[in-house]
Amino acid sequence: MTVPHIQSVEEFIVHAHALKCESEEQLEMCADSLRAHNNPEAATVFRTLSQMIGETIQELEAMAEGRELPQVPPWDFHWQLVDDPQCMDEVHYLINERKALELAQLNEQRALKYFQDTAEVVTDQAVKELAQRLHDHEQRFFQYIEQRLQQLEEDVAHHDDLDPPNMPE
Amino acid sequence: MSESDAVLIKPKDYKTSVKPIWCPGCGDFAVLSAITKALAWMKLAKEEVALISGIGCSSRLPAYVDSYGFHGIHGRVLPLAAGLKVVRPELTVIAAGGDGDGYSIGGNHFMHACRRNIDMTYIVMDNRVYGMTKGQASPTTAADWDKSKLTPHGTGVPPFQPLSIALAAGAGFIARGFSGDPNQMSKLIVEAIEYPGFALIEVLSPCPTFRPEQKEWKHQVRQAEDIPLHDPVQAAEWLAADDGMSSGLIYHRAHPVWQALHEVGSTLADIEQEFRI
Amino acid sequence: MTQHNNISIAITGSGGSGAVTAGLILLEAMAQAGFYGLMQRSAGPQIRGGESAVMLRFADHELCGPADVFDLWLALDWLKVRRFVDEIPLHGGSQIISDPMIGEPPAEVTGQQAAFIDLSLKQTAATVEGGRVNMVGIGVLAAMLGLSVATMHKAIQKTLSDKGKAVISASLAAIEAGMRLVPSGSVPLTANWQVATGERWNISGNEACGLGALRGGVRFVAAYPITPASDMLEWLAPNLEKIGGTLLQAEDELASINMIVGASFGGVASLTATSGPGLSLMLEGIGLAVASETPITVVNVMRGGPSTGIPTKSEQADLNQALYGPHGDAPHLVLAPLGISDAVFTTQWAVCLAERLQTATIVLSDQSIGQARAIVSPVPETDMLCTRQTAQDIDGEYRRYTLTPDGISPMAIPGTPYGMYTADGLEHNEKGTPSSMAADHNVQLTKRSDKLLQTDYGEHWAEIAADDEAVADYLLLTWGSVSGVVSEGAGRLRDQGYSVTVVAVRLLMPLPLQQMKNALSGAKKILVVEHNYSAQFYHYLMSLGAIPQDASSLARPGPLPLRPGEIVTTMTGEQHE
Repeated sequence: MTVPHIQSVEEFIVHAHALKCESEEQLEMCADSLRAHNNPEAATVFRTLSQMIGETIQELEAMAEGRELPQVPPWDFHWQLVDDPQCMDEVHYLINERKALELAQLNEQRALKYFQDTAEVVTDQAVKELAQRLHDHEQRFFQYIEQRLQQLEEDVAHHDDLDPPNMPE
Repeated sequence: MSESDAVLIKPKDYKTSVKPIWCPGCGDFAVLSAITKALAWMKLAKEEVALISGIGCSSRLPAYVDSYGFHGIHGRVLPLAAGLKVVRPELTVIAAGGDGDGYSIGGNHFMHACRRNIDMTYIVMDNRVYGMTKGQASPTTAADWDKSKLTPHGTGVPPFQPLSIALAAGAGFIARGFSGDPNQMSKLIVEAIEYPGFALIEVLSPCPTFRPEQKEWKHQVRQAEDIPLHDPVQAAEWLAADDGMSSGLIYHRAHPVWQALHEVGSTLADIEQEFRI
Repeated sequence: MTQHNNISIAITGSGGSGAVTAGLILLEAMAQAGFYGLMQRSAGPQIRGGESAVMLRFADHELCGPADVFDLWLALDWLKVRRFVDEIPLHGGSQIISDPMIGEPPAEVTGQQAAFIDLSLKQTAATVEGGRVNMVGIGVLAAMLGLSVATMHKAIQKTLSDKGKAVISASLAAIEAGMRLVPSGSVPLTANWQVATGERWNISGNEACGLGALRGGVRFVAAYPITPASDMLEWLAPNLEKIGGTLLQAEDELASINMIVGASFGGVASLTATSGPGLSLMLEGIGLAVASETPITVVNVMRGGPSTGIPTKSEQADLNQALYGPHGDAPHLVLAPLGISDAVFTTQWAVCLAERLQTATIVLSDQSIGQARAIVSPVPETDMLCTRQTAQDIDGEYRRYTLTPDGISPMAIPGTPYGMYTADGLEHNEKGTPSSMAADHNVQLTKRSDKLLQTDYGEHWAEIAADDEAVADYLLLTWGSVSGVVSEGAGRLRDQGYSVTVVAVRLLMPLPLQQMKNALSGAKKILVVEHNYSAQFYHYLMSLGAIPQDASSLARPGPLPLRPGEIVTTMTGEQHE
C-alpha cells in the first residue's frame, strides 16, 4: 500500500468514507447473497458486521456536514489495489459462521492498515487524530470478531456440496 | 464540479432493495458495484437512467439498480436498448448482459449495434460459460474446455473474439474491465457513458460455480500500459496479440452517431393531402 | 343491390413493358374523370424483367374487391403469361387487345371465348419519338373508356412528374396516338356512369395502414424489409420524419420487434410491419410485450405460406399464428382491416387499443389489400381514445403491475421521478420483481387476460349488413380482406331474392362472443368465408362455440383471389354465369 498524501481533514474524510463504504458493500453483498442462498447464520454474521461499519460511515457523514469536500472519483483513491483481499472473492454459499468471520477479518485488513499508516505518516494534527480514531474503530471491529471466534467451536471438516446446481432460466 | 455538488458519493443510493440471486463470489457483484459508483460519481438522476438486459445470470442486473430497467428476452438486449434510446435520446441507456446473450444468440445484434453506433453503453459480463442453464460452453469458452456434459470433448470451436469483432464492425469505444477491480471498471463506465456512440465494455467476471478456476484471473489480469489506441489497424494488431487478460480502455475513436432526423412543421393533414385526386 | 356500372381490365406484360406504370396512369386518369377504381397486382419472382399483371376495376361507386371476370385485357406481350393466366378469367364478351406482332397467344388464352382486337401498337409507338407500346395501349383503353386528352394530360403529369419533361411529352404523344386507334364515334364504356363530384383519394392499402398508424399516434417504427409489407415502410419513413417520428431499419425481425418494445417502454407509441416469415420471428417479442404490458402494434401483411411461400400473392393463412403464436398464455389482440379504406380505421384502432390496454396488437392485412391501390372517398378521422395511462406525481412505493378494477396499471415512463421499475418478461409480482410463485402467476395471468375481456369494444368489432327481414336466409360470416368480395356476392344473392346478412369481423381476438351470437341468431344457413386452405377462421369460431355445428365453410387458398360469383354458387349450389 502506498503512503497516502492526505493534506486536509476534508480530503481524509472523503477517502475514509469511500473506503468504509467499500467495506460495507462487500459485507452486505456477502450477507445478501448468503441470505439468498439460504445460509442465514453466515448471512447474519456479515449483516451484523456491515452494520458496525455503517456506524462509522454515519459518523464520517456527520463530520462532512458543512465542509467543502474535494471530489475524488472512485478510481483515484490512494488505497485501491486489485490484490487486496475482499471477502466476496472467497465466499461460498455453504460457509459456516467461523469462515464468515475470518473472511470479514480479511476484508477489513485494508482499512486497518490504511488508517494506521495515515496516523503514522501525516503531519496535519487533525488528520492524525481522525486517523487514530478510525484505527481504534477498526481495532474494536477486530476485537469483536475475535470474541465471536472464541465463542465458536473449532471448525469441523468442510462438507462437500452434494446438491447439483439449478437451471433457473 | 460546482460547489453545490461537493458532497460525499454514495453508490449505495443507486441500489434497490431487491437482493441479487447471484452465487456468492460471482464477479457480477463487482459490476453492480462499479455501475452504482459510476452513476453516483456522475450524479445522474435515477429516473434519467435506463438499464436494459436480456436473459442470463448477469441480465438480472437491472432489478438491482435503482433506475428504470427492462429485463427482456434472451439475446435481444441491444435492439431493446436501441429502440428506447432513439425515442428518448436524453436518457442514459446502459445495456448489460452475458457472453451467451450478447455473442451467441444476440451475435447479429452485437455486430449491427457496433456499426449503427447509437449512443449507449454495453457492458458484457463474460464468464465464458452459461450459468443459468448449468454450465454449458459459451461462445467465448476455450475449444478444449470439456467440463460440460453437452460438449464432453470440448467444443472444438475456437472462441469468439468480441473485441476484434467489435472493432471490425465499427465500434469506436472498446474496453476491457475486470470484476476484481470495480474502481477501474467504474472509470471505464463513466468514460463509456460520456462517449458519444456505442461503447463496449467487456468485463472478465468469474463464475465461481461452473468455472472456479477463474478465481486465478485475479493474478492474471493486468492494466495495459500502451492504450488507448486510436488507429483501427493498430488496435486490430494489438487485440490479435493480446492474451485477453489486459484491461483498460483499448480503443477510442470518434464515429458518426446514429440519430433520428426530423423535419418539423408538417401536420397529419399535410400528409393526407398527397392522397387527394 | 348490385351496382352494375363497372368494368374490369387486366394489363399484362413482362418487366420493362410498363404494365404497372400503365395501370397506375389509368387509375389516376379514371380518378381525374370522376370515377372510383381498384388496382391489384400480381408479379413474378424476378426483381426486374419478370412478368407482371395489373388487375384494374373501375366503377361509378366505391369498389370493395375484384369482379368475377375481366372485360378487357391489354396484353403487351405473351411472355410467361401462363404463370397468371388463371388469375385473369374471361367471359364470352371479353375483349383482348394486342398486337399480332407480339406473336401467338398461348392456348390457355386462345382457348377462352374472348374476342381479339388486333391493333398495331408497336408500329404506332414507333411513330412517336420516345413512344412506348404501353402508352399506346393506355391510349386505346382511355379512348374506349371515354377519357379525354385533357384528363390523360393530368394523369400523366401526376404519375410521371419525377420522370422529366421529355418522358412526359413522349408519353402523352404515344397515348394520343393510341387514342386515335379507336374509331371515333364509338360509344364510351362509361357512357351512362355517374361522375363523382366530391373529394376522393388515391391510396394503397399499405399507405392506408401507415396513415392509420400515424393517426393512432405511432411515432416510432422499426422494421426489416419484406414483401409485401415494404412499401408501407417506405411510405412511413419520410412521413414519420415530417411529424417528428422515426423509422429505423433493423438488422432483422428479432431486432425490429424488440426495438419497438424498447421505444414503447420509453413512452412512444410504436409499430412494426412485416409478413408471415417475419411474424414467425417476432413471436417471442410479442410475448414479451404481453408479459411486460408494453403496448405495441404489429401489422402483418399476409402472403402465401407456409415458409417463404408465395411472397407476391395474397392469402389469409396467418390467422392461426396471429391467434396462437406466442408461447404461454399470452392474451393479445388480433384485428383485420376489411378493405383498403378500412385499413386506416383498423390500424388506428389497433394502435389505440394497444396503448389503452397496454398489450400487443396484431393487424392482419394481406397482399390483396397492401399492394392494391384504390380510388376511394376520403377516410375521415375517427375520434377514439388512444391515451396510455401513465403514472405521474408518484407518491410512495410505485407498483408497475398494481391490480386495478379494469386490470390496467398506470405505467411510469422513464424520466418520471420515483417511478423507477424494471419491466420484465419473467413472471413477476405487482411491483415487477420476478416471481415463480403460483399466487403471483395466477394473479398476473388473470389481470392480463381480464383487462382485454372486460373491455367494451363497441360496435366496431364487425361490420354487419343485414336486410330488413327478421331472419336472414343466408348469413355470410367473414373477416379481413375478403369482406369486400363477400359483400358483393351478398348483393347478388339479394338480387336473386334472398335475404342475406353479412358479418365481416374486424376484431378477431378477443372475439365479442355475445355480440357475435346476437348477429348470427336465427340465420337459416351460415357460411364462413376465408382465403386459406385449412379453414382457420371456421375452426376458430367452432372452437369458441361461436357458430352452430351446421355452419359450413368456404375456405380456398391463394394465390387466386376469391370472387363474388364463388360466394353465390357456394350458397345456392347453382353455377354462376
